[in-house]
Amino acid sequence: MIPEGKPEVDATVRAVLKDVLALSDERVAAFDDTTPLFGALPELDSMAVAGVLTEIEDRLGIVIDDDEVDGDMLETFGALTTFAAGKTLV
Amino acid sequence: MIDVLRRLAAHGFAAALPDLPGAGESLMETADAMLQGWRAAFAAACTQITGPVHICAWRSGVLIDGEVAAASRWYLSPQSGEALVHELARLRHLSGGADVAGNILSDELLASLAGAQPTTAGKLRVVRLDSDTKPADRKLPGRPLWRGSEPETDAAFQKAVAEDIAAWITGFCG
Repeated sequence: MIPEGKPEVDATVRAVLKDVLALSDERVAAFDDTTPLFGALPELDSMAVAGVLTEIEDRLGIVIDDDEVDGDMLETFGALTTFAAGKTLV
Repeated sequence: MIDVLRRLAAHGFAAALPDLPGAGESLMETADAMLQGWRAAFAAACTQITGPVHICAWRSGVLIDGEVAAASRWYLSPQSGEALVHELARLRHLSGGADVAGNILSDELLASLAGAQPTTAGKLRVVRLDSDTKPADRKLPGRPLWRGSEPETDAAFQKAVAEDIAAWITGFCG
């Protein structure tokens, strides 16, 4: 099912980070918009970034152009969910 | 994957996992690997098996079994060649190198993969993760282990996969 609101997008991105990076429920539950991701989560290396983005594409039914991928969109949980919501909720 | 094979053995099924040319312990360089070569090699390996051949393929493994007259096919989260090439290009882009996670892949291989589609003819069962939005005959709970940077295992998921495969194949043995 494709999410229809920002909370559903947030939940999907949270689940992707948990599944792909093998994070605990407690860790991802504590994520908020200001939680730093790339450079702060040791599990999120460049290989893992690819897995996270592709899994987000699959689960949200969106396409992310690799040229759109930069440090800003991956800086915080809020930046990533805002980017994903911008693609999903049109 | 090897754990699933062991579990299938415990269910009474003989299972084999071929190394494709240019992968695993193959003597061929990965840079020389070709889709057609993989398909031919897989078909040749299947001719070495006596009795009906039931194919189990994960992800883009579903792109190489088209030349085999199999009794059935069981696919886990099958992926089109286009989606695979998209992923490989992303890995290459993010690492900033010419390789894909240390592997040199030829342009010919990527071009032939880009148009490759899973086989859909014959007896086919498709299983996906319950987080997957695409249609499937069954959805199983579990994490996409293939997304991780390092090989991972999930005993409960592997047990469920082996049981589903065993039940599927048993249905043909009547």
